[in-house]
Amino acid sequence: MRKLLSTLTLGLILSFSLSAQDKVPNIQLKDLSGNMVNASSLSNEGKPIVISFWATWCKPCIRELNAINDQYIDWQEETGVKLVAVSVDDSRNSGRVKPFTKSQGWEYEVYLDENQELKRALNVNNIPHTFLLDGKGNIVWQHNGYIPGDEDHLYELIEKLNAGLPIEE
Amino acid sequence: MKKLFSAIGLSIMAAFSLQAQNGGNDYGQIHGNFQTNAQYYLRDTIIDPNGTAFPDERMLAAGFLNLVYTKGNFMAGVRYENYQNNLIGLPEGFQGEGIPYRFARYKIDGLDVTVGNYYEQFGSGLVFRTYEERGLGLDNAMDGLRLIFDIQPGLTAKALVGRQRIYFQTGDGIVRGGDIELNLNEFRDRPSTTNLIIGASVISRFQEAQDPIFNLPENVASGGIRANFIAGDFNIFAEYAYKSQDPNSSNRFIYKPGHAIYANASYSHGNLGVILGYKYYDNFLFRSQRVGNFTEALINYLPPLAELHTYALPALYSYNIQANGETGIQAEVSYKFDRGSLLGGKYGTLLNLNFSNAYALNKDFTFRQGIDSSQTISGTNGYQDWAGLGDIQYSQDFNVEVKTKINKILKGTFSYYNFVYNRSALLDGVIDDLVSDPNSLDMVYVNAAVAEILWKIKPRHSLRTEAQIMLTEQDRGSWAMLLLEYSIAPAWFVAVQDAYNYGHPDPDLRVHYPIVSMGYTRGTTKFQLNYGRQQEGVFCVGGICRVVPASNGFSMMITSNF
Repeated sequence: MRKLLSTLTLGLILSFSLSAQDKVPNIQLKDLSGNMVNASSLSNEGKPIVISFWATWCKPCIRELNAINDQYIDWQEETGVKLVAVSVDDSRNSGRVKPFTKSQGWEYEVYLDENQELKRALNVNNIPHTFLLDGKGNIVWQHNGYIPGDEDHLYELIEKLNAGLPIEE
Repeated sequence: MKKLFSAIGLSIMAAFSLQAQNGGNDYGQIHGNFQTNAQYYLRDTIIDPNGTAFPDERMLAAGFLNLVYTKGNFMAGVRYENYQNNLIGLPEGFQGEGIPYRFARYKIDGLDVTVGNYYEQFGSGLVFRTYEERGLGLDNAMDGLRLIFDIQPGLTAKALVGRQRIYFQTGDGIVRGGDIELNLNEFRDRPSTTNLIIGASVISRFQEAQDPIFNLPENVASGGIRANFIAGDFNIFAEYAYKSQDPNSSNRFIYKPGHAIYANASYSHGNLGVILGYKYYDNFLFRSQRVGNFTEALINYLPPLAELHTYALPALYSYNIQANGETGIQAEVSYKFDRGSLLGGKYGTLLNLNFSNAYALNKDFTFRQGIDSSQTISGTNGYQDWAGLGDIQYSQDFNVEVKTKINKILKGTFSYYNFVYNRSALLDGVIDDLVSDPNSLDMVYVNAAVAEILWKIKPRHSLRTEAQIMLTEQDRGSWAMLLLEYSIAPAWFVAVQDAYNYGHPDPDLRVHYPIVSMGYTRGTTKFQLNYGRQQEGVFCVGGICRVVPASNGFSMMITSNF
């Protein structure tokens, strides 16, 4: 009986919260100079933000961020989008993040989520996991995993967002 | 009773979210994620002649659902977990079903309060870190209270108390502690590229002691200090931690205190990145109860300071931490050759060199006569304080990676690996005080290479190929592997791979390990199916590794979030 109740409750929650607008929660991240930054305060002057969860050991994550990096100048010029790369490397590798991003030539804003607090608060199962935020900071789309070509799809969505079109998927 | 509360909690959340739809965002939001893994095992008499890794259930499945409710500065969540029974290679202690994780948290006036379960880390984790790695079946969540107080900008204090999760129970020991961190940049009027962050932490465990032989300390404490100095392109981090007498099942009940040092320095400028690291861990495994296996009730984390390899064959010789004592270094250089330069080619080339090693400590053991007149170190100090570099090598890893774009549609990553791997210590668990002759250890010498090519066939269609070779005369001998993965963005992939253990010393085990898999992604939901024979291997996430036995069968994974 109790199990049935729980199941029902879970079902209810599932069915009623699917379309809720979401913001980035109030969780502390560390920047590459060791300063604490509140994730909910990430902003881009009314332009879209892409938040990408990655780690130095995650090959698909790096493939994705390199693929976007190849086109990032164009993306920024045309849409004003900003990419925020949140590393979930633990202390085994967090010291490598800064030199790593430099040598990759990434122009992204990079933060550390060393004990995966933000990752958990945003319900990320596995990385890579990408969120798209509109100019008001609402999460309008998210995607798990990376398949080459996904970046083109993401860019279409950013353009849609800038054109004021709804993101439906 | 506890379950009743959970049920009530869920209903309240449900009610909130119901209204959320009617009244906009005023009532907060509920989100969550879900994952399930199931495997149907086939009996394979070649890789498992006696059927030891073939489960009686034939089919095993596990899954969980996380729910997090947020409204402004308030947050609450639960996780339901289900193991019927846990998959082979994961801890069997996870059995049955329940809600082992629930918490409520709010922030007000610079104070952040959490009750229930939480994960926390002090510094680099030498003194305290609780975390979860689902893939390893590791979850050391605390169950108790935690306070984080922002005394003023740049000065943060944390205090916590509680007990730790062990499967569906909590450990015997009470854990309490605190941490303080000072960020000097915040005390300056103008931002600067020079900064100093210092911190100190302490953690203590209480567990009743009624041992008939040993006079065991009921309170065991560990404390650490750390500093992070940043000056432009330089970054230096160092942490030292000390642990009082903690005789326990993992250190074989010795009384000496523990020491740990973890330091790394990096320089990054333009296209160049350089990292140097040093570790010294002596008797520093800390559990929230005296007796524990594997990753049970660990309250600290020792960064392994060795690269984490993810290509399948090199990953077979992954390093895992030797908590009773080890020391080592790591050095890494990475450089991006600009496009147009001699080595950069048309698109630029990335080069990465990494070296790391780990050695046992040079321990001068103290033995005493045990009850059965055998020699034992239990009950003594074990060995001298601050033991130096020992003769026994645990590992050495040198690897080079070159990443380049060949032309508009081809990208390549080429890597070479050279490993020295102490199989006796790292895999078979031979402890250094039992080793009379270091030459008797099984050392494995490995050379491996991987070529990965990504071919963008046409928009959204791509083919990824991995060719791997690993040569060794020891252990299971040489391997070769080929993987082909065809994907159509943003939804589909199909992959086939075959690993061939052609150099196995036993001719009957020179077998193929073929696997076919496919995946489908729709929105945030991902389905994956695999069929084939999986080689025995070491599966690692973070610093922790687990040996996964060989298996054969169908497996399925679904992940989703909302």
